[in-house]
Amino acid sequence: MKARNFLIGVLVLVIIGFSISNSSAINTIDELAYVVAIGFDVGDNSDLKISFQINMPTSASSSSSSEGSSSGGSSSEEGSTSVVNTVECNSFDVGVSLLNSYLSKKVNMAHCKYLIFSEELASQGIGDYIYSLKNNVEVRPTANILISKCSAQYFLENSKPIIDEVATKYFGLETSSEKNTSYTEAINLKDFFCDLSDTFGSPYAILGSVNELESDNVGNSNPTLDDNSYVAKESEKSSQNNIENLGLAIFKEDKLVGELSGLETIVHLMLCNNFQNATVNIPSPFNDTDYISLYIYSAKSKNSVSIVNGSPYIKCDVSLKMRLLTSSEKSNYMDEENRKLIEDYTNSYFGAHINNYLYKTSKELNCDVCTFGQYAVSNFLTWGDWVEYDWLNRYQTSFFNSSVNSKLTSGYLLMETNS
Amino acid sequence: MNNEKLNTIEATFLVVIITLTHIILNLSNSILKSTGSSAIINVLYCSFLTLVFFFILNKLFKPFPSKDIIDVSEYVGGKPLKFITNLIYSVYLIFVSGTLILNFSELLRLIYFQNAWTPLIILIFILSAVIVNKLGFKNIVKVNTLIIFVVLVTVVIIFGASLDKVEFQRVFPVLGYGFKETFVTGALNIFSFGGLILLYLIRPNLKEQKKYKTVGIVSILLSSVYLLLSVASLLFLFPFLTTGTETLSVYMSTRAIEFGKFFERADALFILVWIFTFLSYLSIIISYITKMNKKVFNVKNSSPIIYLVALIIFFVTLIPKDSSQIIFLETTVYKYAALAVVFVYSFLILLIGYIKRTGVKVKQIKNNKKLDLGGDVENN
Repeated sequence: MKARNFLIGVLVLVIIGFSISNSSAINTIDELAYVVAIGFDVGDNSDLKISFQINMPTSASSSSSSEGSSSGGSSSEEGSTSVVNTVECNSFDVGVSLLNSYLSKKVNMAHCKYLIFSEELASQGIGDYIYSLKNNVEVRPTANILISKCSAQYFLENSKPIIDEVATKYFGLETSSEKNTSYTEAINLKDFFCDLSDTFGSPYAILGSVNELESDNVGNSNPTLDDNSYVAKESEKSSQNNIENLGLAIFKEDKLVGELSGLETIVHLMLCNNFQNATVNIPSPFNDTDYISLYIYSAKSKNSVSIVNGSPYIKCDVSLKMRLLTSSEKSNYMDEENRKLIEDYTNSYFGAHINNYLYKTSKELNCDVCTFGQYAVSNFLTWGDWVEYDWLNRYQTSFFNSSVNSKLTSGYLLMETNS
Repeated sequence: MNNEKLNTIEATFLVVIITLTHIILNLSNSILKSTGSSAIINVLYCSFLTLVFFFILNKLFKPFPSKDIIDVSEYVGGKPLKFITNLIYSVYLIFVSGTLILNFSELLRLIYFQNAWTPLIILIFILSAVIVNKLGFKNIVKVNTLIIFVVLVTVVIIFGASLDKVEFQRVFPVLGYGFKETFVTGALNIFSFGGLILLYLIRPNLKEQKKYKTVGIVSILLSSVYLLLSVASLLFLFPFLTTGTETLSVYMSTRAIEFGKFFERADALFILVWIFTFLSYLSIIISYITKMNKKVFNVKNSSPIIYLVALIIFFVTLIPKDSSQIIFLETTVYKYAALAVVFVYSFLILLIGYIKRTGVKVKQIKNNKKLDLGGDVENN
């Protein structure tokens, strides 16, 4: 009994000693500066320029935007809930140390929601940075990977929450917008890392930019484009700076090689069976100059891959379910004949876009972003055979057979306006 | 002594916890690396082999009711073999538990206490296990039964929560790195069922001897199911595991789990559960080493042995210099040690014991027959 009490006493002492030691004291909330987004750019004087967007405590939420290392500071508007600090360095971990050296708090990345890479850096290759981030205990695998059409620093400094006050919440909602639009796909660090080290497919990331008024970073809106064919920077100018995630950035190994527009992303999601819902304009079958809007709420693709004469033969049968959004005077879209006409138009419209998407990813980009490799692998018996076949490079020799079968299930409130 | 008797569930969970603790660390990863995409087939194959092994084991144990491997060793080779078996078992259990606790403490240090001194974390585990042992074997078993339920639920949650992200096509190519790697050298992966070591020691503690077979079968099946779930979730979620080096793989999968936008960082909850699991595991190991040594050295007071074992485990944890040594010990050395001790040495002792016992019985029957015949002749 005495021995047991003694042991319990010793254990209590060890636990108390442990809890008041340096190891746990350093991790109190007051000691930490929470990074909500990290931006990676090509450095001016070093390999890398890293921008950290740090959440400010409410009481201290005054404005500031400063550049560390050798650069001077600049200010931003009052009432900001976050600050952006930029350091120039040669590696990510050194960048964090540099930031720690002039912040009064220890940088913590456990709440980081966005990892933003500039287009320029992504074109040079981001593999090493992704591996370093994956190796970091603090950076969550659920942090989203975004490729910015403008510089990452500019992206962070100019992206302001319009409706939300807290930057972390803002970033969280930004990525979840893909569920409502299907114009992009939320790709996180874990997904990107898996794709990067995978033999089944190629990596891709969210394509984004800052949509703003009067800036040379904004792409000109192109009047010849379909509503859904925009990529980031091409949509209509908004009155305030705001993040715009539209399309996907496509990688060959760890290098950015191309991008998908909003409509191509919708097709991509349909083929990958990740589609949720989207509103799409197709040419009207009733009037050559008009468009009709469809709300597609279900898309399933039955994919299969077989190897014919050494080349992949990829077959995709896509089934769509949709509702009609458009209504006009003297229209009866739900008539059996009209319904059939709309379905046929939809089939040919998406059939053409699916073919464009498939040939663009295979012949032009040679990147299997739809991970058809996972279907092709069943043709092989051992891992050695599969690796020897070299799927990621053979994808370029693929030939395709796609079909679309759409089903118009209903309209909305106005079913018939003939009267 | 009757207080130390175990019912079927308690005994089953004692065996299961050994496999579970290894699954939490790098066991699944090790299987994936050796077999690739055929890991699931390999686990099923190894489970079948282990079941067959246990049926033979059960048959060999039949002539020794309520006896453990230490008693059988004494029967086979007298006191010297009894000492040798005790030494082999003690060294094996100390080495395995030491390596495991060190690895888990390193994980805790990496994630939460980056500036902490690892031996201090280990010390908290070992001191707690010593105190638990002082509270008695039955308490350890009851707490373990509770903990196992929670751990089993966590493994199911890890698999279930990742279901929407899994790609079932990752079972292809079906033969993984090849037929030989899956079925020939892959058979060595039965080391995953190293928890069977307790089936050699648990017999004197069972309330009903006839339930031994049930305990063995259920514990192997449970271990198989959880090994399968764990391997499957890693294979379907992390393609790079089959090609690259990844430590703390199950922890990695917990980090990828999100329950909507509300519960985003569930990994801390898993770590909390695992802390209790490792504590329970360490307590059970110390308890069984103490039991064996008490029996072999005929000691009444178990406290000195508990302290000594705890101290040795602590010293063992100080031996590895870096993570690569820990991983080497946990994957390579443990693999062959488990195969040698659990599947070869103990099996041979039992086999010899069985032959000796049945041989003696046959002799006795022959002698009895001779005596009967001699009596008949005299009568005639």
